[in-house]
Amino acid sequence: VIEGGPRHGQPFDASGGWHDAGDFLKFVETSSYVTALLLFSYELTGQSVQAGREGADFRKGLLAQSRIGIEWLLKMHPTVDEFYYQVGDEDDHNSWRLPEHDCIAANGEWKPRPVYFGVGANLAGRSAAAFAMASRHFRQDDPDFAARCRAAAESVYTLGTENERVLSTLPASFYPEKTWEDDMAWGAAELFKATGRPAYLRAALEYAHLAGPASAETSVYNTHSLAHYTLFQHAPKSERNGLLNYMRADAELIRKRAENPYGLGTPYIWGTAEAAAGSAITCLLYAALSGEKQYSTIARRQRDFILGSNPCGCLA
Amino acid sequence: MQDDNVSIDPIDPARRRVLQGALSMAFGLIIPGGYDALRISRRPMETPIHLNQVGFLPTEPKRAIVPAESDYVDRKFAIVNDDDSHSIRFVGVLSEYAFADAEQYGHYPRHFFADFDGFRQPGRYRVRLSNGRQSLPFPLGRACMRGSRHRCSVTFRCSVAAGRATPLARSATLMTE
Repeated sequence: VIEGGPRHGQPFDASGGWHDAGDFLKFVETSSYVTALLLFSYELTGQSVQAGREGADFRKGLLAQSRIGIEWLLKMHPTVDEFYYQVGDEDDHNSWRLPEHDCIAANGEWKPRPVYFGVGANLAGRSAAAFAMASRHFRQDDPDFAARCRAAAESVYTLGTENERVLSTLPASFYPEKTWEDDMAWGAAELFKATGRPAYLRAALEYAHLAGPASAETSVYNTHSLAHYTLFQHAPKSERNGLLNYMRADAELIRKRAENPYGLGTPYIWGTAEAAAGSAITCLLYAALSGEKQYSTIARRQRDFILGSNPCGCLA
Repeated sequence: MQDDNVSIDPIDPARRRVLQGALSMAFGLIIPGGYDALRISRRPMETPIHLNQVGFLPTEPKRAIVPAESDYVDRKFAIVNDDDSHSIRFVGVLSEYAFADAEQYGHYPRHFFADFDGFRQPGRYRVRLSNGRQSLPFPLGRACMRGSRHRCSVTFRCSVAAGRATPLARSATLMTE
């Protein structure tokens, strides 16, 4: 049932997508990041993954997984003026139950799940990036779906320009994001790639300079490196050094942090595995553009940490 | 490269086969896992030698980390086959990593690196120290990630019965050089 907005109180089909870890909440904040990252990986592996059937299967799988997220995000943005950012609330943590019993009227075990109306530029920018990438990558196999994605990318990006603020989760402490400029830079850069319109490139550069370096690793909170890497390849030469400097600052921060026995580039935090993976992304992207191989090695140490080279000796 | 200083299995193979048979007959029907369970308990301690257990690509940097209370007299290590032969495939020397605040990484004051970047032969191996300690097994090869799947993406899917979600998980997670 919708909470807030023009359709407050009405039932809403928010099925699909992925639930959160350890509960059945669904967040646009996390799902848009994962979806965009899957599509980014699909694109990045286009030239590098090994050729042949196995490589083709791998990329096909990435695209199939990303569609799970895209289809759910399309549901969360049903019209040009509407955006819903969360399914379920904090009460979700209060009981053990089967998710298939949710949303059944008067089931007596659980209330109808709230679907929250609202948008921030962080969610809009990242969703726009995901939709724009999907519009290009599904164009050949499913042109109608690709066209829906392109339209959604443009309309959700517009919502972002009208809501230049952060909206994360309810309560915000679940995923406390702080920045939106990086996400809008990424969204605008991907929209430029999808549409070819120079206005998106100009906007992407503007947002990228507002974002600067993340001063942290890539994560659900910080998409700076993803935005700068994407933009770098289309930016005028006069802008490239600036973008590379932002990326270098973050990669260098991780390099210094990684001076420990396990080469871990992030402090121990709630979600160290995700932070280590994000550190790997930051370093890999910077290494790819700069040619500085030491950052590629640091990235591999992050992967190794997640896969067993850690003080517990266990796979995360 | 062979190295006699790296111990393998102190039990004579013939005696081991007799022992295996006797133990299997005696306990196989009443102990889950039968002889296998006993055999595992007789192996050298498997921790703490920490490394990526999903695997390494042949040409990339490869490292195991060995936390320790004190120095090793013999700092040799070996990469051995993860099979009954335990054949030694590579021998290297541990290097120590000096770090002032090392104990925040697992309560050990010292850490040693077993680097084997130069070893590129595909297979399934363990790292073994000269004192008999050995790591968990790990694969090495271009296809070492082939068995992985997008399990999280499938497990966390909504509105689909868990058993029906698997067909969408057909993509292998590959790594590139």
